[in-house]
Amino acid sequence: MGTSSAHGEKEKIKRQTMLKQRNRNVLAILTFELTIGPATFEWIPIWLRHVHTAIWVPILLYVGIGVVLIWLLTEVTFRDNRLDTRLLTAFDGVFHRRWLRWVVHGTLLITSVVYGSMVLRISMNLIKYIALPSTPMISIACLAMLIPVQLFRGGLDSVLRYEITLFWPTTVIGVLMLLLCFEVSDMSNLLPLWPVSWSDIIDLLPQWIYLCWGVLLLTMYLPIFRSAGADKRSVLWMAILGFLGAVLLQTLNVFVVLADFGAYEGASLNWPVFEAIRIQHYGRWTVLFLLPVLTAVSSAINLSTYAAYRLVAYYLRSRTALATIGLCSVVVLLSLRPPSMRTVLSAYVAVIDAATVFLGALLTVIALTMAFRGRVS
Amino acid sequence: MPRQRFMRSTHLLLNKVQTAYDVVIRAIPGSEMDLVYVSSIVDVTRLEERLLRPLLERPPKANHHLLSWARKTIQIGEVDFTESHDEAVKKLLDGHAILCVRGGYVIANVQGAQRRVPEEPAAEMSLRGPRDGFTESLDTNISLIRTRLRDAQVVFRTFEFGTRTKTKVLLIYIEDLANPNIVKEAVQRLQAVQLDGLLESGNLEQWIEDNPWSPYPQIQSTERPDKTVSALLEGRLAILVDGSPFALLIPSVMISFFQTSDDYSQRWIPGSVIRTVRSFALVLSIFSPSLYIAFTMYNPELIPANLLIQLAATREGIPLPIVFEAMFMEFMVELVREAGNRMPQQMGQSFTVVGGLVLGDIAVRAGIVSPMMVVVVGLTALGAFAIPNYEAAFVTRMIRFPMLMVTSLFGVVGTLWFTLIVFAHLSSLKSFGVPYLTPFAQAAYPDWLDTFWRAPAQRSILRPATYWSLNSWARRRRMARRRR
Repeated sequence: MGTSSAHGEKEKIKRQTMLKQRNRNVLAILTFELTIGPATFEWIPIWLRHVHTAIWVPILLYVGIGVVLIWLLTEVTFRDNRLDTRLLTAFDGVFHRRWLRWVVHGTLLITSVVYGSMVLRISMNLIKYIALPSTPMISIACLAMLIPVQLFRGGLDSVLRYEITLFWPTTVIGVLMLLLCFEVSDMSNLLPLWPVSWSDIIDLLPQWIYLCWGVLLLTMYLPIFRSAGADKRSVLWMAILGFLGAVLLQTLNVFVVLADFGAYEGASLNWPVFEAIRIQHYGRWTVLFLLPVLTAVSSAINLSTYAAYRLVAYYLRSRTALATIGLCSVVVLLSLRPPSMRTVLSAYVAVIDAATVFLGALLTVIALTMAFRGRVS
Repeated sequence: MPRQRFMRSTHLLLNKVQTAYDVVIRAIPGSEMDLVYVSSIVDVTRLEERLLRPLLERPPKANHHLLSWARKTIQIGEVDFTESHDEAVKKLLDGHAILCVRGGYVIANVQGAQRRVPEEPAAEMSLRGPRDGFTESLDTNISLIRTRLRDAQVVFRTFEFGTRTKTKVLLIYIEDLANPNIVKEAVQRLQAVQLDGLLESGNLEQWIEDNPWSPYPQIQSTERPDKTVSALLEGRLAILVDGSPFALLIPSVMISFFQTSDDYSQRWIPGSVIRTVRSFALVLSIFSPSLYIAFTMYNPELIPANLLIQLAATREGIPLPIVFEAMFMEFMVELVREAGNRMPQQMGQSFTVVGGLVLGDIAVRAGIVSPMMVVVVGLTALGAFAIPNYEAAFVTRMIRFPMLMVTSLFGVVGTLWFTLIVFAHLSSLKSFGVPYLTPFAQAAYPDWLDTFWRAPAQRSILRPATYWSLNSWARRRRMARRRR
């Protein structure tokens, strides 16, 4: 008894004194990184093609959907007062039948791996376009995967430390470089703000779904913050803060593209943000803009692959190096397999969209059930 | 002096000591008692005045209780009695005088080995801070700490390492500031050390660090007592090794290797400016050769046209590819530096300067390297010199070589990915449980006020939570929240 009480006292002191890795600020940054994804903004041309300068309207709707998703996720994560540290996903506390959990875990595992592969492939294409046209893709992919291989050995805390340390310097550099793009901008390109046709906005619906996957990945991370002692209120507000920060940066990118190129020219470019950077200062800064973008790419790969790794490690009952190497190999193979970006954007995005719709619907049903039973506060 | 006249206990003691070159044995007339000591490590004046004279004047009588007689007669504070031969030998070799009596040994502390006086540390000069540094004497080092830290809560825990050297090691911390979990971890690691001989704190450092495979130092070493006391006040622990002028500070985080005492002696604006300059120096030192290669080989569009033409002109006729040119020059710099370190101090500095200048000039004239490469490598070397900690500067210099190779294959992308890989490695590093990238990695914003810059003194009165101190702002905030 004496030993256990002494141990308990030491644990208490440890909890009180150590700087918590899983704290509210970290959650806000994590949500930001999950939402922003690889920060390549390959979706901007498609959005512009559909809604032109009225892009603000879908962005506002996307903000609404994102906030609702975060709220639902928080409600589901904090559904029970009992603290169960074994919860892998936000849904685990709800589904008592094992097969239901397997379905959710399977969906999350497949989609996380596919998302990681897609991000890797997009970044490889970007790197080839910007800097290394003749370098073999496999070498870039292997170089990129050295980061998760190192990080996963140290567990989630290592991944979080990596994300958080790089967040501020890269965000500041990225935002400064974006602000420099207004040097040759034309603000009249932003008009008209009001949509000409609302049906275009509705046509854009699948694209919103694609952007929501980042937020849904919080399914894997919110229970971790709950088990670290975070309270529901601060989790909700910090996640929303992080999400809004990311949307603000996404909006800044859209703003830059519109102000520099206008809706029609912007819609015809593959990498409009990079082109906006390229037209400043005789194209000198494009390569340097890779710093924030590659950091975001590596964050997106880490966070999605780690989500998959957590699931794999749970079923393998251990954190094995084999699981890390296996997962990283699958991500590399899936990123190299498609012959073109078009295939990636059609096949992989379809998988991600389907998973997002499935999990989003599941979340809504659970939340509605909880509301009917009076469990939503 | 014939041996057979000594006490039996004296013979038993001397049998355990192999060498007798500096072992002095003296029989005390009028008593059944011998005095034994090692002349090279005792304070002879003290021994004669405080021990020998009283002994000769008032030898013990048959009815005297030995220890109480010794404590009354010998004018030395630390007097003890033991029956153990091993204990007596240990104390004898530690600079104590041994009085061999019937049935045991009276031990008196007359330690007084030759030690140098405290001087300004050569590797950690200060413009405005104190000028004294640690010496090889543990007692002197403790006194340097004690005179600065008059706190009853200071704990000195003693360890002994080396089955043969029996080196004394002190673990120092402030009881109500240091985290008990870190103290426990430090004690466990120290107890697990198994060494034949411990001569230097650097050797101990390698035994107790978290990750021996990492090139990054995980324990900070310092020669400065003021820095050590400052670390103790932050809730850190210090380890002093007898015979070493370096204290080890644990736990250590990355930013602690780039801070100096001078940053705190000066006002916050110059302190912050100097830290910023140092940060630029670090970036310059790590990235300048790699980025030069990346820009010239892969992305010449990043260089202004006029400068590019100049660069092309200076590289005309250079037979080596630019990567080998950089490697060659970096290697030369390291060679000159290492040679300078190994030469006598007076010659070393001039050799380094002259060697660097002459070699650089000759290499340019011979057409092996371009003048621009000499400038880049010079900047790199200067940047590394501005890093205050030797181990951190060394890693910074070494990390350039793999980065050069990756850059030569992948250009700027290679430099960026390599940087991210290094960050991934740093993210998984810990020092006694404290993450290496603290406080950045936890977004602990109050602690950022004392990192790459310094807030005004009034703003940084909070004790940092970086080292998990019992009295940190984080704990006080948590406890206040709980009380509410």
